[in-house]
Amino acid sequence: MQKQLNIFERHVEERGLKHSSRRDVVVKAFLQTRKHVSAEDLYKIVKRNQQGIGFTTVYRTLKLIVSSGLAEKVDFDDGVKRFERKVGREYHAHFICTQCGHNFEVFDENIKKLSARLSQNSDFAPQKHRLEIFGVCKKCQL
Amino acid sequence: MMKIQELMPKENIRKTIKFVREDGRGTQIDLGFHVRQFKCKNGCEHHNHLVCVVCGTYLYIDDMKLEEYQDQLAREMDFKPSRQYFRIYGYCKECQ
Repeated sequence: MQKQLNIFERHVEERGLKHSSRRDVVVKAFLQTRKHVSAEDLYKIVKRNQQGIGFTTVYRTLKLIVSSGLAEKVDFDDGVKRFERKVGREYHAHFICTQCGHNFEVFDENIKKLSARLSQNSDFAPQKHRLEIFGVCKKCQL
Repeated sequence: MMKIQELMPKENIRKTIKFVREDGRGTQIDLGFHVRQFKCKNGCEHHNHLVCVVCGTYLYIDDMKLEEYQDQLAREMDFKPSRQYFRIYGYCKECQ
């Protein structure tokens, strides 16, 4: 996590912003979470641990985290902007249940192979991929 | 599409698309880089694209193995899939 904190710190300096302990709390909370979080979710997590940090601080810090390259937006087709950690993540797919809203990740090396083969067929130089599967989860099928 | 745009104000198209989405008959695919595509839900529920991060152009991927892989992955997770999106972001031939 220290490496990611350094990346963020460097990005903040490049943007000409001052170091802020409140911003650090938000970044640490985001890096520790294993879920896909929206600004509201992150605000709730931060508020649980430390009072006095406003939603605006969380929202702006989240924008900074995205622009620093540590996070990226994920779209689960429900109008909520969620974010996930980006650095050091392997190739993975997102499963989203359209009934209960539950979402989870599946890590699979075959996605990488498929992505490489499909790109090669179209003379395309791949950088990253996204695979989202919407449907009904095991619990909701019962 | 051009002919419709000439006849109709852009706002009307935007509102109609919004209505179709809310009605559940259409879906929005966010290709990233401010490119959004709207599709009718009737028919194909697989949306696989190659998206160029420079010029924003996108190509459809029609691959049986990819479809099989997605279905197999869903089966392994005891998941009943209804629609699937697969996007590869990178550089197209011209932008390389």
